[in-house]
Amino acid sequence: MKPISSQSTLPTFVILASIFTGWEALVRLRGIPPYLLPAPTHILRTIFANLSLYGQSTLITLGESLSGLILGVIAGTGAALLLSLWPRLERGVMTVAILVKSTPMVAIAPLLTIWLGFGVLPKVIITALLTFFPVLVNVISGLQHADPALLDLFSSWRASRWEVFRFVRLPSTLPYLFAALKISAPLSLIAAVVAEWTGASGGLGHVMWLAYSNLNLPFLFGAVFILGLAGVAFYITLTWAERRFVFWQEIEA
Amino acid sequence: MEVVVKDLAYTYNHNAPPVQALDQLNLRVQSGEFVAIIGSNGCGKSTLLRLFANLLQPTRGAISLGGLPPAQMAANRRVVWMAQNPALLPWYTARQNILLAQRFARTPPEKNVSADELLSLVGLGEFSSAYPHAFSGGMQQRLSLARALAMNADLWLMDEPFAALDELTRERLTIQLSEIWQRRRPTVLWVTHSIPEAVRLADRVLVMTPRPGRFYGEVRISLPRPREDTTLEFQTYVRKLKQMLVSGGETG
Repeated sequence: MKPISSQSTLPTFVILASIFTGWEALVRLRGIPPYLLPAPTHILRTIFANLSLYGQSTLITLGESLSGLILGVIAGTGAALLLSLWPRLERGVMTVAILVKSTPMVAIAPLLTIWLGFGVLPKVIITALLTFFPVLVNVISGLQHADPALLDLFSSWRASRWEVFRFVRLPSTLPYLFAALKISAPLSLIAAVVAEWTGASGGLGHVMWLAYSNLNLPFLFGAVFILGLAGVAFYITLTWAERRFVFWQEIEA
Repeated sequence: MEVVVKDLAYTYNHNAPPVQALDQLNLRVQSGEFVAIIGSNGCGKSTLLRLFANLLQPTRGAISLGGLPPAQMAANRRVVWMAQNPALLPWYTARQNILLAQRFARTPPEKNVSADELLSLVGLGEFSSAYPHAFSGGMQQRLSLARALAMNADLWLMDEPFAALDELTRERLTIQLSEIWQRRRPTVLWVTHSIPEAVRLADRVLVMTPRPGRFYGEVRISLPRPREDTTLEFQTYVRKLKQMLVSGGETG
């Protein structure tokens, strides 16, 4: 559980800096026009020039993906708990879950937009649907993979099912839940953006779509940059939370 | 708590072919007696303790713990089982692990030994708020021992509780445990691979045959406590048991 040291951040910084410097140099030396590939400084200028628009859009998209993520986690965990209580339901629920998982979200997104409008709701639903499956599968797996030695111990204590659940199974799911979140968090951003493409009144996906229709590449890239940053922020927050809450396990970064 | 076992057999059926772990096993342990069980690897010692702890049900035969079946005794929380694996809750501190055990033991609070006292007893006094994942294997086992003591049970089922300890810690804990046992006088079934440990602790040492396990010999240790392993008598007991173990391996 070592903190992120300057040693580990330095190479990252060097690599990123060289990529962006190379990009900048390429655009300037070759004189590539901004409608094909804008220079990083150009993109940054565009972002700062439209800070309020980008800020607002970022809030909308992050709000959608976070709400979807939370909803998906609640639904996925709830379904997993339900299945562990009534294993007979497993078949039915898993069939639905696999159906949901196998259907490409891009295919459902336009439908939901048509039914529910250009607002936030269809985006949240898409994100939740995408998050649901990894959470369900992992939490079930966590509930089933509680340490057999602990289960034996509690059985020798004659602990009730509820006590075993509360003291052993539930905490055992935490590492699995975080593994699911690491998959779901980036997916949730993708889901929100893709859903916005199918029609939205705001959000980064909406900004991208407008910029794309006008072939305004600096504007499009601005949204891409922000989404990249948001993805990294999600990841860092999750890693931090994992270290904080699953402190008993060695976690590889 | 008196322990009586008649014609006990246990077969693991989920393996193919089935493995007969115990057969025709008879045992009588008096209340307050300290009995050590030795035998080669895989002779069913752990299986025997699991049967007593109500984690397994006998294939044949009967177990009586203080006149009751193991399930009833376990429900009364008067039996403690300590496995080879320390089985600590990683999300709880050393102290919380012990408090949890006491919560399950349901002893009246005034009879409980405090968690901190138990931790200092096993040499973990300064680690009461540390988490087990930071502990060495030996420390984890000592915490597990402290937790077993915290249960304040009448029957102790101990499955190689000192296996992961270094020789010095093992000796120190053996002496402490002997004192605790003399004070509280629980009935103890102590599985071990160490003959000197058995001689140091037990009233009686039972020797088991290889699979299917049953008892084929016993040695009553009539040495005053505390026992010095340097004395001639002590060494004689150790030699005698070693011979029994070797000959049992051949005939079994």
